Amino acid sequence: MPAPKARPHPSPASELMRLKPGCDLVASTVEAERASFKRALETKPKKLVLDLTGVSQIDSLGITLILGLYKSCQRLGIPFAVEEAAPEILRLFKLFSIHKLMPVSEASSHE
Amino acid sequence: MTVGEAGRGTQPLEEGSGTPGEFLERESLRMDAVGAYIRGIDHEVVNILTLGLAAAELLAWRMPSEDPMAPCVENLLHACRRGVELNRQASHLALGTDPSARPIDLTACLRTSIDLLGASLPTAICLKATLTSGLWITIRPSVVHSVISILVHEASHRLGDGGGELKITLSEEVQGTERRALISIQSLLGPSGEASMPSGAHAILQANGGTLSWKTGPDGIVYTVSFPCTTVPYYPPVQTYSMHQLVGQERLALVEPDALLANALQDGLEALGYTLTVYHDTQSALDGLREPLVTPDLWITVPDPPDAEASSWAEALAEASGRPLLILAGHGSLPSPKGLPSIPKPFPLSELALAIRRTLGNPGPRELDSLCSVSSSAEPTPRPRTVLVAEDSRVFRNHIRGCLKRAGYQVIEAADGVAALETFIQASMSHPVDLVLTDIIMPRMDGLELIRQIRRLDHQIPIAIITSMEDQQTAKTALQLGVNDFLNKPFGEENLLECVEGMLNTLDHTRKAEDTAREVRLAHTSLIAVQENDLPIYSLYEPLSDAGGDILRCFKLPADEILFVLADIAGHSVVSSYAVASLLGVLSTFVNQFEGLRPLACSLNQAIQNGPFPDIPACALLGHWAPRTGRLHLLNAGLPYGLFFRLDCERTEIVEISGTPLGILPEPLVEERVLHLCPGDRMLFASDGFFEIGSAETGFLYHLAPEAWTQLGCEPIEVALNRMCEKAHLHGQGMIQDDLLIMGFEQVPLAPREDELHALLPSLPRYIDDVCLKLKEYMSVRCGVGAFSPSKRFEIILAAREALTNAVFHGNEGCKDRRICVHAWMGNDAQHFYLRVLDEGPGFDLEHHEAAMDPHSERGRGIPIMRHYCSRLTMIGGELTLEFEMEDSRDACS
Repeated sequence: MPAPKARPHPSPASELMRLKPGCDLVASTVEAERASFKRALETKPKKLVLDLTGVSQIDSLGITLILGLYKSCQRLGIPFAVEEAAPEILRLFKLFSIHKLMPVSEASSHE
Repeated sequence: MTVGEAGRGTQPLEEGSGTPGEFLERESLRMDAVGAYIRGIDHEVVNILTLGLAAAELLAWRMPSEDPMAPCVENLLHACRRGVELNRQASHLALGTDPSARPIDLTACLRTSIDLLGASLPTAICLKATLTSGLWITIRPSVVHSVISILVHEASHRLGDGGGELKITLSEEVQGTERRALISIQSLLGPSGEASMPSGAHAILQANGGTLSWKTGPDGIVYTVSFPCTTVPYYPPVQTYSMHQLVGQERLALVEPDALLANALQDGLEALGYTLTVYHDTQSALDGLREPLVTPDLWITVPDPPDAEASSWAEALAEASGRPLLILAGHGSLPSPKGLPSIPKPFPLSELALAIRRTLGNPGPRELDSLCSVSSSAEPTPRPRTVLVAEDSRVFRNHIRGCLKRAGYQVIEAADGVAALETFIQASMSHPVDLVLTDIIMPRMDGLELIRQIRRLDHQIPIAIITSMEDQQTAKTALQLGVNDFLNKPFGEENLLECVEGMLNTLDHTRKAEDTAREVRLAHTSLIAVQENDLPIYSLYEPLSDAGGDILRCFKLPADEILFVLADIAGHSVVSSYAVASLLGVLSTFVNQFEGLRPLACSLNQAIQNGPFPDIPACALLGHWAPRTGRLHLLNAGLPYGLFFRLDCERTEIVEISGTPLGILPEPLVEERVLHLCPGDRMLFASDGFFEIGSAETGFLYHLAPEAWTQLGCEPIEVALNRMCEKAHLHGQGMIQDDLLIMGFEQVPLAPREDELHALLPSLPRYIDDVCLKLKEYMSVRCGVGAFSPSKRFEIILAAREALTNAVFHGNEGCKDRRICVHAWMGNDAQHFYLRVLDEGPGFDLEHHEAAMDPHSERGRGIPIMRHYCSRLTMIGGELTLEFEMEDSRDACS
């Protein structure tokens, strides 16, 4: 089982937490990332941002993971957003209308 | 045996033939010409006959008595022996020969006499003859002519001027073991009275071993001449000898100008263990005598080589060599000079060998090597082993040859790998090589490649390599290629023989064990698995009755793929047989238009319903096997079971696929599966008669077959099939209720093309990343840089991830011991890219899979992703095939 790679970065000023997996969200990593996300949520941040910097591939399990995270945040009343999504990943999100559920911003380097 | 009755009156001489004296003179000249001709060709004929005898006898020795060709060789020997006898009979006409020693055909001789007498008798005398054929006597023809002439004229005198009839009869009299030829001359209607003894004829006969008697009666006088017969049967008696009376290890020198004959004698004598040096002319023989590499123990020579300066060549050779000499005399040759031992041509090899042993003064049995292990029966079958020596160094080759020949081996030499391979293949058609001894470094083809090639042709033949101590890496490679032993340089004769004999002994034991096993199997059952059309598929069929209803047909498809159809037609009646024939007919047609198993099944289904036997359905299993990649696609229509032996875990799984027989429904309800076979994996399919053997009490074979098939995993596939059939019979206790048709095959090593990606991975998530990396590299490197845009690569990888994820979590249900096979390739038109992902699950109905596009849905999103990114998605069993449309090249570059 790969070690969790999502690095929670709490920001005291705004109590914003950025989750940065830093690796692809695919079959081989989702379980580890899920555990990491779960721990992050236990800290009850005011806002949660999933930073997809360095994520080049997300498969159907990865999408399910993100949707699961979104639903958990919704349940806890935590605003959730996805940032720094690569254009290909953005297209994938659009395929499943994910961008209609949550704010998704494209990677700044591609802007 | 009476061959006919010749009525002969007193025939006038032919027009222009002149007086009887002139006729006789002409006849004499003609016979002289014939004699001169026979004398002229005698030398050639005896050489040809000797050559034929030598070759036939060598074949007979080398060929096992149970070989199906053995009777042909025996006939060849008989024909040669018969030729020898006929030549002996004909040669009495040759000028310069001793006629008294030659048998003659008395019938032919009498016909000549009667022709001559007919011309000399008065016209009032009628000469009639009844001659039996096949009687041979050893006497000069002139004796016969003289005696018959005297007696006929004596009898004709008795008839007087009025003439009458003279009757000549040739018959055979057998007294005990003695056969005699009887010539009776009878004058009919002549005056009676006492006859006097024709003293001239009596004297001639007495001097030549014949007898004369006569008697008078009311019908006339009868003279009877009797000669002892020389029996010349069609199959002349064969001299019996023991093989050990023939063999020897001496060095012989042979002077024989006839190259063909010399070669044949050399082959034959070397097969008996002798070492021969052959010279075709006297000059080279004398050179050999002056500078001997080895001193021969015996010289064998023709008495009068064409280039011999002296008429006494043989005497000169005997004196110069100081060794014993044996003369190969021809017919009509003068007695051997100075009484030197000789053997007249033509002779069989065995007689020559006996003469050699007599000349060497050692006629008794000899203790020799394995060559002499032949039994002392009258039918020897020596098997001198043949060793192929591939070595580019002539000096070293000569050394090996000398050692092996001294030990009684036949040696074939080759100076490089190519020559060795050619020699090996050629020899396999006549007298196969028993062992190969090869160097490693050789021109044109090295030893390792030679071994690889030979092993493809013969997996059993012992191979030893000549190597050096420091060449251990090569030795390891050779060992992997199937080499049996090594000879480390330098080695002595003892090492060489030890290596060769050891390997041959092992081979003998292996063959003997195989023979025994084969006999045992044959004793138990008449069934033997046979190969299908040179394809690597074996089958075994035992119909319950003459009207068997099971069929198996295998077809070779392009790219070395194989299509097989195993079918079981309902019933065992004559009508069923016609239905089988009908199905076979349409099958051949459809195979030519093969586009896949399902279209084929639909075509067959329709053909049965529209054909002459719509009421006779066919249970069928259709298979499409690609040995190159190990992909096996199965479609079942009523033959549900197969056995899948997996070598990696040494376990057999039952492949169970449902389906209804063809010909029942408008659209066949069939099920498909795809399996990936690894090298060594095996399949067994059978008609239902096989799996249903047994009863509720004893259990059906269906339950026992997997274990049995696993146990036979180390046997060759055809042997394993035979054993399975034996087990089926044993389990059924002789109560077989249906046709038995079993087929099986074993996956050969995979050989994917260089332009395709083929990977087999354990069913674990982490391997998905590895495969995706490989796929990415494959698309970048092997498909050509720029063939895929980054966006297309992303889409393909994403879809591939989904297919792999589906295989790991759904198809294989997370079982870690299962496998996933990935196969990717660019289409021939370069317009499409294909990806196949195969798991071990049963698959699902892709057509009815609802796309989970709703973000709130809990269902999987893999299929929608694949559908979105590929142009076509299909599923057969657990195999997903994704087809991607390639972009325009300009788009790809951008």
